[in-house]
Amino acid sequence: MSVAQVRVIAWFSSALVLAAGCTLEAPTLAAPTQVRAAPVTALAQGMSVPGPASVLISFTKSADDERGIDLVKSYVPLRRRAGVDTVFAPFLFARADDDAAHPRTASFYDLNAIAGERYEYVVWAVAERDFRTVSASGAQAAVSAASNVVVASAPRDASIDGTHEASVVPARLSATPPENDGGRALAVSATLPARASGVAGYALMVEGGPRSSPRHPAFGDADRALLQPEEGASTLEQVVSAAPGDGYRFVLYTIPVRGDAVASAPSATVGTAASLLDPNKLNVGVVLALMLALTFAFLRRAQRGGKDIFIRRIPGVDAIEEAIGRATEMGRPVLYVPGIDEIQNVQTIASILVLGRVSELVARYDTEIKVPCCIPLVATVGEEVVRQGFYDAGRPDAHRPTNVQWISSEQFAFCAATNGIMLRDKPATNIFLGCFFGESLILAETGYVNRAIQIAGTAEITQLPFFIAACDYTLLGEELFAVSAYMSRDAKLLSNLKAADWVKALCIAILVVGTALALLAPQSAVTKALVEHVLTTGE
Amino acid sequence: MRTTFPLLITFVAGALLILEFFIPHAGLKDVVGLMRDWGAVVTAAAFVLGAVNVLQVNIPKIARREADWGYKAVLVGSAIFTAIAGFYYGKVEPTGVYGWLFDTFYAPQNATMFALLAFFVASAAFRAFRARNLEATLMLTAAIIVMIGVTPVGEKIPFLDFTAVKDWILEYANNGGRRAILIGAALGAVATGLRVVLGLERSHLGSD
Amino acid sequence: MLERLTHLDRRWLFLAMGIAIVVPLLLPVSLSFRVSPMVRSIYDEIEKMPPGTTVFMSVDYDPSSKPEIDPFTRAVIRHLLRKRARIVFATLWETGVPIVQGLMAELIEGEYAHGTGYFADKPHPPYVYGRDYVFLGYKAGKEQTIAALGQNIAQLFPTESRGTPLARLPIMEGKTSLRDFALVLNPSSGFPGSKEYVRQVVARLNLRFASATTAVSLTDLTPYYPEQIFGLVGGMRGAAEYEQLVGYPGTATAGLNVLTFGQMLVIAAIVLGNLVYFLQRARTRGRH
Repeated sequence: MSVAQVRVIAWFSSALVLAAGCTLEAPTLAAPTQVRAAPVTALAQGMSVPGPASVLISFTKSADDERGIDLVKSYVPLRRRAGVDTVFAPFLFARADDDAAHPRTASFYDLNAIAGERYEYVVWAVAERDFRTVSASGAQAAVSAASNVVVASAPRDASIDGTHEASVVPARLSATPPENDGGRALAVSATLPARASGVAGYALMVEGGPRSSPRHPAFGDADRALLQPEEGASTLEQVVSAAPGDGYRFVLYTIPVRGDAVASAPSATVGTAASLLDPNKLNVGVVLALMLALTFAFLRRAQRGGKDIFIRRIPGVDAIEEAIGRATEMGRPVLYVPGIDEIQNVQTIASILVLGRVSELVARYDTEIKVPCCIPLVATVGEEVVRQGFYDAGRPDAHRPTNVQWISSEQFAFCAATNGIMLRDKPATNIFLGCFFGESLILAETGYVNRAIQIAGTAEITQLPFFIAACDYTLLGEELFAVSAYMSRDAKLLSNLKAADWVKALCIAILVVGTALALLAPQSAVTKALVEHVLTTGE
Repeated sequence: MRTTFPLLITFVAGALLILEFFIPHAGLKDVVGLMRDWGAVVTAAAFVLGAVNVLQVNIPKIARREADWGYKAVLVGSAIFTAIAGFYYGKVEPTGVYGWLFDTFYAPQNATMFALLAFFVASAAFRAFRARNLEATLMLTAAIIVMIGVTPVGEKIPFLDFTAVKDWILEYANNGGRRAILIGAALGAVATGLRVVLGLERSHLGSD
Repeated sequence: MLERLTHLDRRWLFLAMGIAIVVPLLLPVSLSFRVSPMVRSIYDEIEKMPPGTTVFMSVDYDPSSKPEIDPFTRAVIRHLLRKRARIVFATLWETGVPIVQGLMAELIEGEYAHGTGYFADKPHPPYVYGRDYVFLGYKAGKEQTIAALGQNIAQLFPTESRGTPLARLPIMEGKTSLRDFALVLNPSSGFPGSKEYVRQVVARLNLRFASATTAVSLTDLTPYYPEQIFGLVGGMRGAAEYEQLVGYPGTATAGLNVLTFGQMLVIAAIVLGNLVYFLQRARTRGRH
């Protein structure tokens, strides 16, 4: 099989993986089935009652549960008094231990039913908060059919007084779209009664919305069915995910320790609202716009005036061409390591850009280049870039695809193999540009033993000292990002470098002013705001 | 066309990602989320290409009995063996052969490579740390103070509190310097990103 | 003589370094040392925790940095066990899985359960998996995973590493996100690690967050101390300090002697290198 055939097969299989990854369907949710309720008389073997349970509700899980994709977040049972209530309401429950012999069934204990009352139950399956289930046609929750009617037994735990009545006052609540929101959430805020005794917790329910859903349990960011605010808290805040649309209404149930839940008045109907701009990030936008504007301003000036844009000399970059020439004279290859991080790291991108220019030079000088890579995607992109470099130099025939090698995505395995390449192939020039970690000194020292000219550049600050000690030239931080523009001498790229320099000057000015403010007027409002900002953002 | 199309893809993808930072709208988040999913899938698919590359580079050399072909045979053999063990035993619970491979080969070899640093630091210190000029002398002095400061010996020297001086150097001199580099590098990274997204930089695509 | 020193074969230095590492390991010379406030603050925080407090521990390192970070992880686990704290382990490094499993088997299910080593003279009531400690497992996704831990742990880890759903674990009761833990500990040697935790969750959720890292990466994290990272353990030295606080000297204390001799050798190499440099310079000047 030829190299080209292998390549076609590889690309084809990759495309298949890609297609498989992109065709995950938007699912709809299947409801739980076969809900059965029974008074708690004797416990099944191995089961324990977490509280004063009086009814055991068992059901068959949703067909979508544990299908590989985690679709069901949780199950929530609701109950009503048979023949008295029309709607099902939340109550105090606990999930029973799963029965290993019947993995498809699950059960709950009712913990606050009143003995002698007749109840019937439903079970809701609530979907995971994934964007596909929220936005697509798939329902967010699905409900089972009602169970049989059961007469609640006396509570199992004798220490709890079965006749205890709670003084429960329903809570007031309001809902609004959260600030700077994407349009898939609603913020619910409830004012809790000042003195409520015998309250076990609260449960949030939602109804209406674009799909006119019946009233069902809503999971907020606390991510549980029973909300228990801290002792003495006067409000309860929850952000609930919601499909985009209008007509949502929320109801908050106060759940007593014993007896039936009391519903608040429904909130006013509310719709989601998507924000189009986050004003908190405008400062970043201003800097970005400034850099863009400066780039184009410098470019215009250079094109009009025909003047060269001045960039200070970077000896390390000047040395690259010289070092490639030296490798040619000695008849030995050039080694280029584009760091060990993923392609999306901007240091790797900067290095790949330089690789294009270096491979063009290498092709012109008729020398060999070896590019060991730690990440497969970097190797794939690197090979294309090297091929293009040879093509641009007019020597496509001299390019050998095997010169760009993926070695291992394990840091030290990669390091050991690259050292091996250095010791066996004896490259005359080593160029290390990109993101490096603990392997930097091991690579650079081995290169030194080989008497190679070494040029390194990284923005990883912890590795700079090692490169400075062991390499002939080291590009510090931002110099790495300037190499490609510097080598090209292209006005478009240089004007962008110049713009970055001006923004840097602005940063220095802000730092100086900030420091002066902190020293001269440490108590002023401006200084305090600045310090607060620095402390919360970390840098 | 050969360069226009990739430039267009780069611009659209880059612009969407930049906009997503400023615009909280969920519709945009969906699009970007889908792009990120694609990115993850492409990264995973590249491992297939990587494996092909390893075989392409090494198998012909083994077949032709080129210099050091033995090493390459060990590489290919162990890669295949580890892959089979990984697929068979899974990665979550490394028991059996996979766990044995990890404990017996991976862990000690990895630690050995990292430990080489100790030796290389000594040889680099001997030949590179020379007081050639004022800057080099300052760096040298700071390095020696920090090295003495981290060892218990630094606390036993009566005339100078090396630990305190070390802390001062790390907290002020070192932090100041690294923040300067950090700010410069961050701006450089933004500038590089803009160059690529705007299509100003097209060396990686070659000329039309 | 000068000529020979100028062209000194670096293998002599390697040999000297080998001796400087091996000899102190064989003949431990004990040097006492001070405990820095960076390390002490973690010890004090755990000391004042009531029994039964739940701690989240993200073990993010691989075998290569194990010698440097593992001693701290061991010391702090011993400390947490003595304080009856509950521990939820997780890792963002796939190579961290065997490390956590090893630590649990050796320390909690071994030394602690059998009442040997550090616990030989201490009470050691049973520690139950799922109730007092649990290992959630490894999750890919790096920085995004950390952000997700700040929102909902169960969504990220539907089951713990042995397959039990999180909802059924007593230790995870009432623990939705990192916010619900009294303390988050992160022994880490790089990316993804403490820097990413700080960026994604520490400031946003106002976590009590402490970190242990390699000596080389320490300077990466010092800017965050003490605001975002209230306690910071750097390399072998920091781990040795923690071992001293816990009162059970381990490999870091032994390693500190190695570190001392190693550092002294590096200093000697620098001095020797400069001596050669200046002698040579004097000689060439004398000739002209």
